[in-house]
Amino acid sequence: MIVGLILAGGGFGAGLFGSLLGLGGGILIVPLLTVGFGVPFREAVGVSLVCVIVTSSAAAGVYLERHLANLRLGMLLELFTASGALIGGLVAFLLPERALAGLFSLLLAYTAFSMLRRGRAPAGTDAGDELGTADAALEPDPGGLGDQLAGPGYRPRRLGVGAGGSLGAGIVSALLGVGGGIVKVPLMHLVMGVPLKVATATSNLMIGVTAAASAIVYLLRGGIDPYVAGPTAVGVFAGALVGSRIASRIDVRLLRLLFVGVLALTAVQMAARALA
Amino acid sequence: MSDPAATPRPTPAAAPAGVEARLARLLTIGTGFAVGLLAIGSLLLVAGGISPLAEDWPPLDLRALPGQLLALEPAGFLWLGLLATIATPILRVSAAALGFARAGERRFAALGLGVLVVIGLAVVAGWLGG
Repeated sequence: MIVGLILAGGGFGAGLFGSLLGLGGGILIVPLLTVGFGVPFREAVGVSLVCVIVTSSAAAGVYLERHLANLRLGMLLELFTASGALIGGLVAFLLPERALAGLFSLLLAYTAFSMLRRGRAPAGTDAGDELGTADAALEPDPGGLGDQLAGPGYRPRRLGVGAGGSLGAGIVSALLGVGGGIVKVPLMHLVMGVPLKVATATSNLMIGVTAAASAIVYLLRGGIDPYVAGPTAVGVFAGALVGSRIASRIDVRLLRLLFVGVLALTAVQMAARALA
Repeated sequence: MSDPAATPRPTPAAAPAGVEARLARLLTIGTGFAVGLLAIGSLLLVAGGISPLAEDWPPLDLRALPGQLLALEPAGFLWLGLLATIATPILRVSAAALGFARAGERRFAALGLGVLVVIGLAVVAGWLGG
């Protein structure tokens, strides 16, 4: 009985910190379940995918209501993220859990490094909505796909690279139980020339169906424990809700540095698990 | 010299009228319904003294689901909540494809249909391996 409440509490913490730090819950839920509760890695990934769908669906609703997401671009790229998720979902059941834990430790280390770098960037650079190549990206292409995907002041470029990167993001999402925003947002913003806010909103929109594609594989192959998934997902949803309400009132700089330490420590634990 | 005002500018990527609002409503209602079911299942789990990590979970059985719900078994609510969670973004893609199809935008309707085909393949792959 107590374990159910602790799972919900852990999920709440993951949702809260994920929301405050702009991370998806998955990067926190998998270590919480595997290192904290001893859940097998593949089952933790299945539960994490459910939590990722819950938080991204709730956030995507808000983004669409505010017209922040580029629905057309999302529909193009999610064809590739969902295909990647299907491939990743199938590969996840072929790989040994130690290999998955090793890959996750690399993802944790990369996330910690990215957060550290973001924390050291001069004030103002985090907003990143200015696009130096915006004019080049606005060369007219009447009737072309680029024009149909264009938004105010930008037209996504390098669609082939975007499609390939989205396929990779889908594979990572399915293998490691994360939303894949850590791949998709830089891909859309830095490579495709989409403004950061639009890239974040569009990535969030795609996460739900991407995670759903692999969650179906996990569910039908017995990789999702409803007794663990239920309390954890409810906790994550509540935590993300609270986090989104208090985010503007909290100085996250210290929290971010503290979190880099936690991520680095977890990365070491995951690596030890992979090498054990 | 060409007149800059005459240069065609990319149009904003607005979806067909009303589609985004409908999708937002669908996602909000779907998520609320799914989380509500998961919350009821979790409360029943705690009230029933079931330890999530110590006990084997009952497998998903769609035919047994109505009976589990009527008997207020936590597994029924949790499985239905999980299915609703997974179904919500899939319904969003279906509704978006339909919205684009109604607006005569075949390219984006086809993209939505492509995603649904991938989802269908995931069901088949999961079923065959399950």
